[in-house]
Amino acid sequence: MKKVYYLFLCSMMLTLAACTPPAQQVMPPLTYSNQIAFHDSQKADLYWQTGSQVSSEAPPTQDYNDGIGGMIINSVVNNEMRSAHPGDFTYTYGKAQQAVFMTSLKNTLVEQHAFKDVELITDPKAAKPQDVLITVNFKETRVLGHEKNYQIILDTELTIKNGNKPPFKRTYLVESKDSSVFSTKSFKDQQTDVSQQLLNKVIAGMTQWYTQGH
Amino acid sequence: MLKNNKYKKASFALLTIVFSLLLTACTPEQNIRGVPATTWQQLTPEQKQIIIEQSYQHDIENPST
Repeated sequence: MKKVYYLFLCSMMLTLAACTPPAQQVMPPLTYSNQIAFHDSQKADLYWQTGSQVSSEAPPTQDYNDGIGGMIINSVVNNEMRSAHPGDFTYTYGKAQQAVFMTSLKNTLVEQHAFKDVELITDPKAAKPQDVLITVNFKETRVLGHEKNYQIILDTELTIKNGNKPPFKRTYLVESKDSSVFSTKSFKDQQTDVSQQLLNKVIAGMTQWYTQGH
Repeated sequence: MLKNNKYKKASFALLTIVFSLLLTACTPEQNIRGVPATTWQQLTPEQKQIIIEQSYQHDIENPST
């Protein structure tokens, strides 16, 4: 009996420790279901540029059934948790999500042989002059508040430079669809939704660049 | 006697849970290259690599920050 009791206790503690807070969950890699309609014989350098990130904080929770004592303890623990673990309460489309997007874009371009080769770079000076330089600039990523179910808005710019030709530029403003307070869509799903829209737009932009005579 | 034992066990369990919760609450969150550790653990090696490179590049470009 004692063993069962300790086993239960340990499993409960492990469960508590293992639960990933919703704000810290990251979307899985994205997939592009369509066929890319171009194949370029040059190598592409995919440059990731970050901009400003506007986050949103989860509102404090208060259980009025606990009585005054309970409310005070709750508030103290809550404040302590927030100062020690800000990431658990801060909803952001940050570096982690952008890295998932950039690696997904790179893998899609590689798998579909859109270019001779694709390399992900973080320094534009690393790009060789004979390569195509594709810049995805996350100018601003914004996560709206709890009342908007942490809807995500991405303001991004795609720039494609090929030798001395004038650069091809497109700006994309995408937002996750479900923004109702009653929505059951998780933050992870919001990330997938908005990133998938951006992936489709970026690939459409690349196709446009190619068909325009790059 | 039996009731007393049950009460002791229950309060011990409650204390253990409260203590572990407090311990979790007081342990400061770790950040790796600007990404909270819990988020970092979910990333693939390729994604971690690009974040490290990007952060390194940022440090070179902005040495004072």
